[in-house]
Amino acid sequence: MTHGKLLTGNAAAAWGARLADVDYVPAFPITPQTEMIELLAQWAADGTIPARFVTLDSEHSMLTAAGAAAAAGARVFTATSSQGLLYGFEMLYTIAGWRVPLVLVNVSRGLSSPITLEADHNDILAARDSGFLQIHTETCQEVVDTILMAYRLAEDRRVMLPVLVNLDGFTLSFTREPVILPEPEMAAAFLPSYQPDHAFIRGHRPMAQGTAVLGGAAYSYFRYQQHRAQENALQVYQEIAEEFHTCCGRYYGLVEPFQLDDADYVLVMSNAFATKGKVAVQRLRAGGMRIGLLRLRVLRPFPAAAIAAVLEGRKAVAVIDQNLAPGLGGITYQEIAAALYDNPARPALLSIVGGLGGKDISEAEFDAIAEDVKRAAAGARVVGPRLLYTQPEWERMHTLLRIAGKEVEA
Amino acid sequence: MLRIRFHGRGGQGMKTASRILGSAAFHAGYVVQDAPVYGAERRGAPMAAFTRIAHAPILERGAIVQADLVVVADDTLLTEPAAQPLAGCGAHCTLLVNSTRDETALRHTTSHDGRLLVADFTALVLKLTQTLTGLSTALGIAATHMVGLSLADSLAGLTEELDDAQLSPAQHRANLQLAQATYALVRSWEPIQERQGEALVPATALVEMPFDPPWRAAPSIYAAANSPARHTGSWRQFRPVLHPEHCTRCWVCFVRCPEAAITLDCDDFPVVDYDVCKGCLLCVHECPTHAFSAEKEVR
Repeated sequence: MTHGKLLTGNAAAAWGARLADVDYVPAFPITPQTEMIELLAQWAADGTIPARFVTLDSEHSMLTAAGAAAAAGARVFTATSSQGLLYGFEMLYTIAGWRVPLVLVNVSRGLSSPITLEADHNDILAARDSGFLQIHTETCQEVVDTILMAYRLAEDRRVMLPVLVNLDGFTLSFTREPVILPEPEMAAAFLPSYQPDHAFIRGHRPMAQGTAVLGGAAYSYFRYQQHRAQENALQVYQEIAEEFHTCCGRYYGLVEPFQLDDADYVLVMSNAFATKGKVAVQRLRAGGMRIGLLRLRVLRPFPAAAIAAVLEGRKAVAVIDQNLAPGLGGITYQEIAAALYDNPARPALLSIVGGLGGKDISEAEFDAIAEDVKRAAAGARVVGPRLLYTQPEWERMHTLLRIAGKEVEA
Repeated sequence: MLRIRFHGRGGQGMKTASRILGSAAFHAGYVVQDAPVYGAERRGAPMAAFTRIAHAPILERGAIVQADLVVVADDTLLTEPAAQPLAGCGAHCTLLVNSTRDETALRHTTSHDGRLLVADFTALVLKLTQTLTGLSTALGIAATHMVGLSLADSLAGLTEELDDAQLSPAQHRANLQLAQATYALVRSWEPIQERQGEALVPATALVEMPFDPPWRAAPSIYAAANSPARHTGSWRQFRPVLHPEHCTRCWVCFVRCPEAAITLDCDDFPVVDYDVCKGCLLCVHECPTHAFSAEKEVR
């Protein structure tokens, strides 16, 4: 008998909020996040959770309410996706600047236009400079565990910044798989109730929060303090990861190495499609190739040293970005290249862009990447980014264009 | 690992069927993953759901390309280009179709060269639950049998899903009866076997995407007025039928039809275009004199 219960990524996220004993949930539904909000609404309505659940009129209002409640000293949970995250974008920077410790779950979904529903990471990565910390998850189990860890990280006095937890739309949000829920007592012992020490509302202690500054020196001070706090978060995260391991038996590092011990070649991936990468690694290993996978998990703060330590000395590394910065290429590729640049043992580094809008990454595409890293290791210069797009997909696209009347210019 | 793919239309309950199967297998001690995939929410539009069942943690995600069992909720999906239930169905794959037609008739409409199983589950559902909402139970239970799960495990999985659905006690009982009846209907069918060795995936070349001019590369559609070509009549499970003797020609149905599938004839009586009508039954509900009835679609 397998332990645990079958939960979707969305249900696991709702359970994370429930086990974190949150006080306030401002909400605005958006596909593919809606089920999370439905569950929390139901639990708040029937008294299962003591939280106050409020629907707002937009994601901008939702994030404003979330930040304001956090500034009043409440433990706050909220969630959005894609267009919703962008609609509330102004408030991301604002809330981070307030130095309040809420948790915001993003369910990744490709950005418009053209509008779509399935996952890629341009939504969450657009927020990479907002001051929010970012943790990206691969499994439903990791979603619930990460939310508990995220509150510890956010509320630590050495950090005091909000955290974005990412899970992929459809491939995780709607996918049920076995999840072991931490016992409520275990969760409460790991994550005690929030004791705000700088942002709160008390009748006997009036204060102004989030005040304006003029003059760059004051602004620079406050903005750079966010960077210092993010730097601290690397160490704090590792302490929390150890503690979570002791408490609940599951360990989540800044990055996750997979079959890397003897690997000459490495695939770098993040989120739910990393599972597909792991299968590809197993298959390629069965064929005799010494390959492994590095999964990016904490993306802000960016664990440059941890990544460089894993990748240095390898023959070739392919960074598979499920995102696209038009005019540049894959986003995490740039950051990993920067992390390796001054390392004398840096490997050949390839940029791959794939899985945009949730497009599948097939075995054939992993095989093509495997050939590329071998060529790069043999000294060939492989110019990226390389887009993963198969011949049958190209032919289907042409059929669609024909149906749309795109044979000749209008 | 066993990979089961369900094809249905929004509202037919195939997501729930995939979860009934998933919960039953999980109850029996297997590792399970299940997930639906659908576009923007439209009742009647083709959707799919996937259940994976294994002894070890499942390192797969997303759509099942090569299934061991494909369950099809109605036979109109077999020829539906947006559904393509036969995609990746080799000779190893068992195809289970809910249809009023028989196997010989369906062989003519599909290119499937593997095992084909056909039964009229809808008739059973209507008989025992009086609504169509039980199709998830029937096809979910048919699938639990086909993967070799016991009736006890199947009912345990079903019960979990019924509890989640917060049904009335009467509906709950009716669904359990339906499950028993379904099990009796399919029990002579030999369960499917795990594929020996992994399926060979054909090597596929990657393409380097060239620049296309913006008139082509922008997500616009030049082909105007093509929506009438999309016959959505197959989405219908119930058909609105006008009884002119009750019709006062008030035009409410004509005004309210969200698909503009109702026009007026020269005497101002409504005429339903069944090629387009999706069977939302808004006309049935809105008609002040109850001149429309809902008739079960039989194809």
